[in-house]
Amino acid sequence: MNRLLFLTTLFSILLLTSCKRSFQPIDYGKEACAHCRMMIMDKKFACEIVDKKGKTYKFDDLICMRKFTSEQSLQENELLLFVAAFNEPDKFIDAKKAILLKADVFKSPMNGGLIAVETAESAAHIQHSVNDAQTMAWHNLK
Amino acid sequence: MAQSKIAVMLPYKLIIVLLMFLPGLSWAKSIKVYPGRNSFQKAINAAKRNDTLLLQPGVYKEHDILINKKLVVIGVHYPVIDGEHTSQIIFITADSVILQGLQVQNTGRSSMTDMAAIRVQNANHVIVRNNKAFNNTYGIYLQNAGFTVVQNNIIQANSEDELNSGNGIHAWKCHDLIIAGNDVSGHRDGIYFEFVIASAITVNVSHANVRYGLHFMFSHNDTYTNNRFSDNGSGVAVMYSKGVTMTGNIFLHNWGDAAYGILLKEIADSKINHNQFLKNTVGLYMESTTNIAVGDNQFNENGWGIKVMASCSGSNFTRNNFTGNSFDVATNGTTMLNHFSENFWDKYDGYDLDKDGTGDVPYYPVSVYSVVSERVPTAMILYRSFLTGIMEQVEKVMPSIIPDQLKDDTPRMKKWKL
Repeated sequence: MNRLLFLTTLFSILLLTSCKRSFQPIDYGKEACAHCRMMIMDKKFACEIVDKKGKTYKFDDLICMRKFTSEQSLQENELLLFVAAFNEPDKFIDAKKAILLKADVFKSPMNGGLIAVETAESAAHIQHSVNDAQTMAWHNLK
Repeated sequence: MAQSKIAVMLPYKLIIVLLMFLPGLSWAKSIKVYPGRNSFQKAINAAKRNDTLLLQPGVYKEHDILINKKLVVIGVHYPVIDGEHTSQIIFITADSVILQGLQVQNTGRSSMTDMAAIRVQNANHVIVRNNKAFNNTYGIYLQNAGFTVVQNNIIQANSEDELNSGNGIHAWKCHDLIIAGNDVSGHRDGIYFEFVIASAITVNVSHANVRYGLHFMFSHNDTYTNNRFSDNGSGVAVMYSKGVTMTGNIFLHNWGDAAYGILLKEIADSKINHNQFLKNTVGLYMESTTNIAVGDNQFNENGWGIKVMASCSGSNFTRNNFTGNSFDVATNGTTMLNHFSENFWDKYDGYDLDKDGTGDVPYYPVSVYSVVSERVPTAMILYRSFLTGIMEQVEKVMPSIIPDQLKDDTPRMKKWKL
């Protein structure tokens, strides 16, 4: 009986872990962008898609993720979209909710010039030093 | 009689008299500069246009040095300009400046500005040569520069903070550059071109950089010849450009999951000739390219000689040697809009009955297992197993998986002497 219990718990744990769709860390300097094939190097601009099966696609620039979703005509409501927070690049935030800022001084790898931050406060903080940065959101990004 | 004699002599005398005035007309002086508090910048401020500054040996702890007039700056026995990890070091904003023989080291690091050891900004006809740049975020940074020469510099960085490092030679919105004879290592990209047109990159050595040895983005009508790119994170990337000529380069030992000798992405009307691809994971990777001539190259001991994606069209592969590659060619589709002819393939086992040097049966360079591993990458575990041996043989008799349009109708029996 005890053994059966043990096996069921083990099995259910395995089941839970295998089905979890979650963010997968990016191995910087080793992995290539799924769209432009460039090596992902710059933490500040990295982003990632997790699709409904849990498969991940990693990108070096928000513009690559944008092009990837439109070219592959993916259903965005089925996807988890992550983007690195510019001011704390090890933290990945939901790209659909993030505040995006666009300016040429953000020298992103593919010239998208887009960064993402989590709060309006940090957006204002960056706009304080970069005056011409425009605020955008993922859904109105082309 | 006397009159005509004067008339003959006059031009000579006039020229001699004018020549005697010449040294007086040019006021350029040579000024010796010694280490001291901001002595370099003070010397620049005091100097007049066309003067020569001779920097004497020693350590100059200065940064944000601005050269804003036409000067010649010569370092004597490599004086050291040390930025002490604070900021950028030398700015050149005037035309026709010559900067040579300095050792420039230790720029600052910043996430917003690109910290450069030597920055040429909005200037033309500048020469930066025979310098050493050590431990900088960016080595030599050209911004809106034209007709500028970067020659025989040694640019090194330690890759301890490799993710935030910058590029060795970085050019942005420039035209008519010559980048020659430099040795670049330990940076993010060895040489980086973005919006640079009509420029030449020759006889440079770019090695052990974290990302690419050479990186082209949106740069048209450029040429790179006789360079050597080895042991870089992922080789050389040429992207979103047209009219690029790549000749006589050596692509050596670029190993890794996403490493290529050359990565071509959205390239048009370009030439790849007389290059050597040796011991790379993928020698030449092509995606969304049009009209590329790939000829007279050596593909030797690579994992994949060429990976040409189905999105490529109108390219010709002629007179190349393929020797000792695990896979000669791989592709991801069945349509093939590119043409292979007159290549030498060491795996070709056809015959030449009429002895004209060309094989009588076509060669299919895409092996069945390269098709399988393209679809299921993990299937590579079974490579060289008994099962795959059988599959290869069956496929030779009854081709069903391999793209039958991808073939060389005129394979050479003997290796090209290149």
